[in-house]
Amino acid sequence: MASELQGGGPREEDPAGSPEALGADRAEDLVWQGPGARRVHPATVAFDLLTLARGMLGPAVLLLLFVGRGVLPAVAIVGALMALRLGLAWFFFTFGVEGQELVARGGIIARHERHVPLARIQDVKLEQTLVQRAVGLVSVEVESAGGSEPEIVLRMLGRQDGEALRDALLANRAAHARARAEGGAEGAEALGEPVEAPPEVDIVRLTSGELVLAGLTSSRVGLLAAGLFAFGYEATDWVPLLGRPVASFLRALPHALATQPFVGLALVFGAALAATLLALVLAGTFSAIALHGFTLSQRVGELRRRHGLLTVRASSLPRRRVQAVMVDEGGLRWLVGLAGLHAVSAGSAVGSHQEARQGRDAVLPIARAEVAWGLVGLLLPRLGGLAVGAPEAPWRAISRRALLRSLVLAGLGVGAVAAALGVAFGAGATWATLTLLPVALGVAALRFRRFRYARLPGHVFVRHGIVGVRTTVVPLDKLQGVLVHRTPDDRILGLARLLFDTAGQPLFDRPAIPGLLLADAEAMARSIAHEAARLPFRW
Amino acid sequence: MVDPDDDWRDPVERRDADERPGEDERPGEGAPAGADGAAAGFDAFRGIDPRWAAASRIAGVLSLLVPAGMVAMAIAVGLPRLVGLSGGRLLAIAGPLFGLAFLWRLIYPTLALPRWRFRVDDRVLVVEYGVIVLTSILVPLSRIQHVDIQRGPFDRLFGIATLIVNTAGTAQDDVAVPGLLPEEARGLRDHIVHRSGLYADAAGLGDGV
Repeated sequence: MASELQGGGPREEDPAGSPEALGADRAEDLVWQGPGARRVHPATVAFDLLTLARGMLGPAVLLLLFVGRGVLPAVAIVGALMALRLGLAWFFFTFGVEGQELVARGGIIARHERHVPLARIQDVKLEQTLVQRAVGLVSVEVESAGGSEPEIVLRMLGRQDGEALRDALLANRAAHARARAEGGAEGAEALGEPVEAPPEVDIVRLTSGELVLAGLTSSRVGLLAAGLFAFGYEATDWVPLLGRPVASFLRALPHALATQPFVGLALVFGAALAATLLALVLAGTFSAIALHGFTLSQRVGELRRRHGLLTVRASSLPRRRVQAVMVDEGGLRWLVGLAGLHAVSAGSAVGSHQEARQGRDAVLPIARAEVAWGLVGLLLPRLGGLAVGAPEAPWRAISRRALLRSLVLAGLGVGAVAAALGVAFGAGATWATLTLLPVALGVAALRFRRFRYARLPGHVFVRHGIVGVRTTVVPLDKLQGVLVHRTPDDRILGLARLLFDTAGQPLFDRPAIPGLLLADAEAMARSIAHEAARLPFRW
Repeated sequence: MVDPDDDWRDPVERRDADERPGEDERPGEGAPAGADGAAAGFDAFRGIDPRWAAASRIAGVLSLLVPAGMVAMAIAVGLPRLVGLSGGRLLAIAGPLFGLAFLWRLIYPTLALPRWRFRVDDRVLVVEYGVIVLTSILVPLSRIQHVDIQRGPFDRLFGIATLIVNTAGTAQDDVAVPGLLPEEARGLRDHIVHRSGLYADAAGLGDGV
């Protein structure tokens, strides 16, 4: 029961004659083409009524208490009017494919229309909450290039209707892409013709064990642990359940640090360990639930994902929308040869910031490193068969002056913290903190060793990490610009930092190569910008 | 690992050089001679007009007046009681801070002016600026979505204009070249649009977003 949302196309186990094998464009002709506009499922009204009732319950109870039974008729009238409005809103909201556009019309008195050209549709995302699943409905979100919000949201559709609509819209988009690729009159003609719906092929299906592993080894565990640590410290003030022992333990820490610094440090480490263990449990559980039954499948030009235990989600990632790819072999994954695969994509469901926050942003949460790297080639077709994950990739190191800088900064950082703690808690704390100096220097040296970059035809690779590594691959046909940054310390050392700008990148987490010699950085920026300029950019 | 001493630039740059003579395969590129004539001026790095410094200085100082006024009013009205410090103390804290800010706004344009420079070679727009952090942005012309010319009140007062180049990227949807003469800004815009092939796209299938 991994997931009830199935890919629309014929699956391998389907007999060719099953209704699903009709093909997406036939479905489009039968159901979606023409001015015969459709409404979303009537159950929408029921769902909205429930939401409305929930919203009205509180005020109604208050009125009943303070005003008396006399308000009941008024409440009933208001409720009925609002229910009527919901019904009318449902009745007047229609959608359908008209010509080459998806059109949605709504509004009871003030009418509004939204036209989304089919060629601009980037992603059609299906989502099923637990309740929707029980009654066989899906939400459909249609996204086009611009903006972060979906263009059209169809909240309730029958499951099969939703899947047919998705396939029809995506098939049409594929036809447009082909038409544009072929160009001219031929291409325009192709638009009218039925398109052979390509089969959807499962690539990877993850077991619960693998998903737990993905959660346990994800980079979020560290953040989560830090959050729990801080939360534990704060929460003792207002969560009595956490108990006196935790509270008194945490309260005792500063004192312990002051009087017996090494015992204090050990206690801090103990608390951090506890927080880490709790974070591991949470991350594993969350991953197993949110990504339950994770299936990655491929259809011409796009990847599709289905996953979820409570809310089932299905989304597609058109290959054209991939702006950059990140292979996460961070931390423990590196040691056991595992990797997660992420894609930066503009305006699409996969890789959105919301997904990243909720930990659902992976194209593939976990796989053997070779498998993940193989998929990189699938997402970035220009990369072709270049053996990039392999050690023979032409990795290059950054300047040794950057190592010098990291060591000095690490030393200064530890020194500053030690001095501050010394002022606050006495000399003992300073000495205890200074024992961390070798660790800080070691981390700085390791970071320098791990940092690598490589240039292959049409692509830039940037790799960084401390224990494991994360590799970002920027395809130059999606590159929007190259920045050469020189902070004062860069200028003193004759270094520069190269930043790569693509659509959809978080502003403060762009792929970057620090610590390049200035001349190298400038030459590389020039050469990359020129190579990118020669490659046509398509949304 | 590649030997760090070997020159990775070679293959690409050599290819660059090879292609240069007959490189314009894009449609619409062999177009009017006039555009190319105007273009010639942008191939080498150009600085910006010194009047930008004056305009920027005035705009910068004026933009500080509003917060300074607000802080002064807050101190006069009752902030001292709120934070438990005397009015004189607060002035002694805020005064030097605003003094430094004003000073920076006065000096910054003078320091920044010589750093601003830009050029458009056959495929890439390069803009360089910065006082403390030096930045150099390289935008492939084929990535440019649209180009704006902006003239604020002080720009108009001093007879200059700002060119703003938009790409789909997150960081530099506003690559700006300030301190251009209006006709220079128009020339640069036409030059960029001409070389970027934006027209060629528009003449194509029409939905080339």
